[in-house]
Amino acid sequence: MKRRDFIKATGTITLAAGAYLTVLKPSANAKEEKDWLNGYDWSKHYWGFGIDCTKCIGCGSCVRACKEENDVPKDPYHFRCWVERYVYLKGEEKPKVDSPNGGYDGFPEKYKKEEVLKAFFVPKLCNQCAVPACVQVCPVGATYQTKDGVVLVDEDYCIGCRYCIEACPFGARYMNDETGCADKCTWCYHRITKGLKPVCVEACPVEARIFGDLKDKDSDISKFVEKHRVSKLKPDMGCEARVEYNGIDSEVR
Amino acid sequence: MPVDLSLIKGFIYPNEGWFQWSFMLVIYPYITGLVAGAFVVSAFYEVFHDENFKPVSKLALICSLAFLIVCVMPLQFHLTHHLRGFEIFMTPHLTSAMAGFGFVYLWYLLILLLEIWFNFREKIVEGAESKKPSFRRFILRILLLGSHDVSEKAMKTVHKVAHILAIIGIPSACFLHGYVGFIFGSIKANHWWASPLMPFIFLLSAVVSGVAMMYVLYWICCVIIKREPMNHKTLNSFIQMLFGFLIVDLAFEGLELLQIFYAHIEATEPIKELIKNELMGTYVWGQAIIGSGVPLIILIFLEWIIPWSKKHLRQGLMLIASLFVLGSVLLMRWNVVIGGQELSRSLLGTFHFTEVFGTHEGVGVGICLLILPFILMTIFSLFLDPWEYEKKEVN
Amino acid sequence: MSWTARVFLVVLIIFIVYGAVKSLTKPKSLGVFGHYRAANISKQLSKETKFVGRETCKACHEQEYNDLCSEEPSSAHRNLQCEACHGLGVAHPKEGVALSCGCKIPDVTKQCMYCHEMLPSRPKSMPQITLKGPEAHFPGMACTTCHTNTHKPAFYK
Repeated sequence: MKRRDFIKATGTITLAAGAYLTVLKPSANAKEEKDWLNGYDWSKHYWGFGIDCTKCIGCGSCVRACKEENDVPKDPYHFRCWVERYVYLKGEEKPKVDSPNGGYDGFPEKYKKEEVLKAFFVPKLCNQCAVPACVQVCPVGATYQTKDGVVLVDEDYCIGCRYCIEACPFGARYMNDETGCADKCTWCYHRITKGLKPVCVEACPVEARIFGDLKDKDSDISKFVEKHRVSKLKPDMGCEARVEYNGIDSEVR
Repeated sequence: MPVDLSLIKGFIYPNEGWFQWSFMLVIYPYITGLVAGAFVVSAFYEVFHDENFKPVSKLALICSLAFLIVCVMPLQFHLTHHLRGFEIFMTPHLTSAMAGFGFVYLWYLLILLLEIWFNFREKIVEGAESKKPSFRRFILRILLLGSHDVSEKAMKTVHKVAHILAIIGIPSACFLHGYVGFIFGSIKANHWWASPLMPFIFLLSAVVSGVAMMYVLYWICCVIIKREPMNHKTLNSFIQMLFGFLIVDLAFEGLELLQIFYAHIEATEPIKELIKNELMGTYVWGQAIIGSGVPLIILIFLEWIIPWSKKHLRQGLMLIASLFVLGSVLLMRWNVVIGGQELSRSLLGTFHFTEVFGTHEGVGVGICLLILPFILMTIFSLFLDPWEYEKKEVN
Repeated sequence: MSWTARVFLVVLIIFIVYGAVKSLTKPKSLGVFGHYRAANISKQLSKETKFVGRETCKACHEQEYNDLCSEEPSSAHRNLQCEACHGLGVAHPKEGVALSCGCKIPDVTKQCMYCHEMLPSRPKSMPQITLKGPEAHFPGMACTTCHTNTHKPAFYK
């Protein structure tokens, strides 16, 4: 008898709960998929980014423009886009690396010309990895990968645990203190989806930044990849970074 | 919080200058470790029937629950959107190790609550039937679930279920804390964390800290509160257990370091720099030499040199060893969590983090959170009374 | 019903309540494309663009625009965007307010030096000068003293 009672009670509750959930379940697909995209068709594009370090002059225009366009805090701790300087001094094996204020104020003359063996600038930004570590570790799904290959952060959903910031091998993420959310470069998703170029690409005076649609064989980025022997950062991390660099060496991390 | 940029040695990525995981993430694995450790102590009696741990087994369960309730609080405090934190349970992103922790945590909470419920069944009935009306009686009557049945047959079922729950509890407790290690060990970007050994290191140091904590509590009960005289078989079991787990723990931590240095990977030289510059005090001196060396020597003395007859000396030395171990494990969490972030992911430099006191994730709140479990434990003890039972047994 | 069974009933009820709360609090657009809120994509797409591009500037500043885009050999800045030096212009054409960096560049020499200061890490093809040391290029003088039109800077060899 006791067991039967138990089974009865359990069964009733389960059925009631089941019915309750079926009725109240929010209709997730009330809005059509494409309605969420404001008319933009993301299956037609796959964005790509290239950086030609043989051209970069380290002026910092990209950093300044980026901070304006994307409301990045103007302190030396928050960057969507920054520039590093790699300098090999004569007689030294390892390069000296610096990035004063991320290159926002340009680069001070720090090394004597005669002492320098070779040197170059490396602009950095989010690599929009094909296998993004940050998306994998987000506990609530506040960061995600779009179909056109960009990783975005949902400012209204991020809980601020900063696991993604720790998980990014490139240091591309930061904590935006105004929103209390993780933030990062989106390749100016609000611009590229309107047919414009990311602001850093526009601001670059020497065309060291190349942007375009990899699905379009005549785009700047497709031609850039075709023409140069490009490499990507930290292939050992298995994130499959997608920014194509020309003119860097293996010391660049 | 911002880092003093003048203290950077070498190069760090500009975004790394803003320190992310501070004191809250240090005490989170520490408290979680004590949960698992305390449960293991209780399981030694409940599952393996080691009678020597009987005096502390019920206390250990309560201790485990108190720490378990507090262990997610540091995580909550360090979030910038505290309320959105519940989304981890409501819309968990299943590929995330941290979302997984939510479920591991809830599962273990369930097991532990049931375990306590069943284990304290006699206590609950006894208290609920007391003549004097009190708040305690009120709460215990709710916990009764309307059944006063303490017949021999009913108790047999209760003990059987409690035993099964304890058996399920061991892997759950181990998984809970091993999983915390995995949260750090799975971050491939950080070379000081990324290691498959991390879960084992976390788990073993958790057991070590849990054993030490239980001994300290036992010592307080026997020496300060004077509930009962210290059982020297129990003391001896504590010594053996702490000694054994400490050795295995140190072996694993040593193995991890050996692997880094011997295999000479890309990160070996940067990690050497990290240990030399930033972690000299907390890691080499604090955690390794003083925090582990001193208790190890004391334990060797207790095990082989100091005779059983010198009861008070043995009690006191074991207390010192336990306190050192507790400090050492806290430093170990610090060295992992803070140390890992002091090494730039570019592997080109290190920087120094200075802890702050005041903020919602500062040391002040952290210390409060470290005290809170003891308050909870006292309250639970008042309700569930893990003592009287022991008195009866001793008599 | 035995006490043991009641305990497990309590557990079952907790599970059901959790399931109910979970399904009720789920954001509507979560799961349309994946485990994230599709509503955020709409928000991202409708963010305001602040960099307007030089064609917009041309409407009012035609002379400067023509100088900049001139095909004359002296015009080395023909690939530049106005906003690369003057700051982003989103609010400026609409409301007539100053650009974020100031339409009038406060320190022209500093602005020039962002790109033209002699740095060993700069590509050799970039015209570079130094204001210090024996090779100093007219130190103490503003660049615009000789290179009068910065939009079409004369390049003296």
